[in-house]
Amino acid sequence: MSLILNLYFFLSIGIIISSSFVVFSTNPVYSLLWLVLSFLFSSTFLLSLGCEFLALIFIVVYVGAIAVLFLFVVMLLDLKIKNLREKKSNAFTFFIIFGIFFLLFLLTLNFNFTKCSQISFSQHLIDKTTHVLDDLVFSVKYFFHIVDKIDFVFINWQEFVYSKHDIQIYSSILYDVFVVQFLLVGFVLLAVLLGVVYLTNSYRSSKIIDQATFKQISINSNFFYK
Amino acid sequence: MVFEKFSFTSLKFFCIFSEYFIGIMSLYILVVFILLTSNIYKILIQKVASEVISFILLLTCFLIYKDILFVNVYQNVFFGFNKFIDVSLLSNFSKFIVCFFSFLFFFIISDFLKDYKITSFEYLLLLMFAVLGLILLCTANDFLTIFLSIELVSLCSYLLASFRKISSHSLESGIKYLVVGAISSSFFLLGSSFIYAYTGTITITDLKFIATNPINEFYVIPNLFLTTVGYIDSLEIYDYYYEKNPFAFYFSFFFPEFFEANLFRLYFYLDILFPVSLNNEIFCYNYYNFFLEIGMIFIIFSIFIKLALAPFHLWSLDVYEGAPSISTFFFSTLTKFSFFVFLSRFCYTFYIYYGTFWVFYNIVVGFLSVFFGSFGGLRQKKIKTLLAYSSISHMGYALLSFSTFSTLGLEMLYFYLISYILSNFIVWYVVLSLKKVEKNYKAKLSKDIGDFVLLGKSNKFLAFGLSVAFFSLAGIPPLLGFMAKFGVFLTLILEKLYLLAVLIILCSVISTFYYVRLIKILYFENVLVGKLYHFNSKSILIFCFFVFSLVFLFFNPTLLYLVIHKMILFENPVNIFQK
Repeated sequence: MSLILNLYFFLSIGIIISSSFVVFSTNPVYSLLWLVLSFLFSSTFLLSLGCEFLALIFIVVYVGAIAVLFLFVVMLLDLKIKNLREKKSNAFTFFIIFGIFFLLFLLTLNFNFTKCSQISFSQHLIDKTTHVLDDLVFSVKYFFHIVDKIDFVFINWQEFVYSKHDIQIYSSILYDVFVVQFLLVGFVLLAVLLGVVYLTNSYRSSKIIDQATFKQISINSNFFYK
Repeated sequence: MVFEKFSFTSLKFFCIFSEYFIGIMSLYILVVFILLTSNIYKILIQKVASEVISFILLLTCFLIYKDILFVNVYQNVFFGFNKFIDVSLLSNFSKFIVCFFSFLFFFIISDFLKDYKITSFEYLLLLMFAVLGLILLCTANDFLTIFLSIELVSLCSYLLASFRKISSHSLESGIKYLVVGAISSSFFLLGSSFIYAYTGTITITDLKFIATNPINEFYVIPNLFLTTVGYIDSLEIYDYYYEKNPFAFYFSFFFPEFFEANLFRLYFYLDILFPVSLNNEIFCYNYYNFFLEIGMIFIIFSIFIKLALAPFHLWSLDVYEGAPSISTFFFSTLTKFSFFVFLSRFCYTFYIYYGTFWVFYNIVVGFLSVFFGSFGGLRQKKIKTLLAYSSISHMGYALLSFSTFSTLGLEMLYFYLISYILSNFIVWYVVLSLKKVEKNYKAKLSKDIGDFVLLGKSNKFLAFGLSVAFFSLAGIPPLLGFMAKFGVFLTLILEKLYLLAVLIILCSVISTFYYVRLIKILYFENVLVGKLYHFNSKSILIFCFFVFSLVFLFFNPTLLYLVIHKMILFENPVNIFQK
């Protein structure tokens, strides 16, 4: 048990460190490599939880497709990062105001996780021992149908997950339970596809640009092309 | 197995019949127009297309009106798709309102698509997808569906903002919108994951069930209602609240009435429900919960970013100015309504038991947005940015009436939103239809205030309608806007927020300046040579309908009041506590 907990601890710390290096590293290629590392960490995390299919999909999609695509774009564009750093943006003050506003609200919160949980558990104990009368009142109310009928059942995910294969579960969840959401995702993808096709295509040039082979070959010669 | 599987025979899977209709129709339109335009791209069918879409939305209105489930809903009890969809009076009425106004929107813009050089049918399809998302947002009951429908709306609106790909302003506005929208949706996901981590569900009605019924010992539930609650010494609670929330203390220095009103109301309800004595400590510690409050803050703030309320409004000015005018029309009128429907469903079901959590933030944000909206527009000369400022201030009024935590406040929210949409339709109709008789005027697509000069002499009817709309937005008596603003101030005063009400009345007085200045430009400008304007008279009936409704609903507001009262019949706080 302690080994598994240590594994979770190690993996979560690895995710945090690698994702923070994605933000703070100046070279975009390095930050992309850190991103790949964070994806690997998270996929191993999922593997340890028992979701094999999702972990493999993580590696295939994020590392195999998206990260490599980003790397390709970064290499092609050859961005100059030094100029970006020297520029002072006018919007910086606005960001600070936004941040302070948000921070003020967060500061008003109470940041003790432990206190909350301790008190609630102890209070459960108190409930069980001293407040027997409340349970009695509730049961009487339930018997006479004063309280609404209980149709609320928590899902036993463990039983649900371990009784089937991984892909079976995903298919059953997607096509049986979350039908509307699946269709909605399809609509979102269709809308994005339409927009991207419109924004990137230009139908204005009627003539097709061919490769001018003769012009390209003879560009250095003094005789044909000057 | 807990979940119900999908089946065509069960009635629970036909509760989104109108959404099915819109979705299938949009796919059908996509196929037909691709076949039509496969040979000749930019064949001019956009006018016909928008009229067809408006007709489809009219038919959808009919479907919603004749919905059998809608007729049979007597209580807020019917849920479809494993409680992912909420079939209630609120969702059905709001769906009808959104659908009706989007029908009018498509009918209006069919005349202006050619002038604004939008020649491709993808624009209309994206608008239709966005309307689908807006309608689903009104009915959605769990965080996953809500998130996806918000994403559908917002992704379509990024594309609509950056649709004029020749101009760099439009592309810039689209990218700005994308960045801000991505931040807000990530906030939403984080907040909903916090709530899931604490309670174990994502459906809003189950959260309400958790709060009301003490059955589960596995889950650490905030035991506000689970333990017996009764007589409470209110002073101790005050001390507790200020100790936990130092910022609230400073806030209460300015608005002392606010805390008294809300806290006392909460205790009043508690007394009704559980008239047994209580251990004070237990109440205090369970009353405050970290996860629930932070999850609620993230979700509410993400919706505030989408609504462009005051500390989060900076994106809206650039986006509204840079986007094509028809898209700006869409952003500023149609998208606001269903976000408020979601907010009311979110705050008035589960978080009603934690009213003091969200009322505080809502009042701060609402006051700031009224303040910035009324002061920011004073020196503005571009008409679209001016309208963006006015929309910020109006959303602030709506949020303030929403956050008074009462039945009347909820009613006034929807009344205010409907009056805002009606008057904004008139303004945008005139702004879109304004074409001067000059050479190369069509090239200038962004409009200044000076373009309205002496409209009153060249086209009296148009100027009259526009001035009526501006007076309504400012809140001048014989018009609907007065009733709406009056209702907001009335709720604030009834909830004993006197200082806030006075400050907001002063802000509204200041904001009348820029509305009245526009009317002065329409009629009384010292220009010797007037300008001539074209006017497209095809959809004049709709314009007349809007102007008439602004005047008529002032003299007979019970029509709207009755509709809105029925709409929120099962959402109001008193009813929930009595259940």
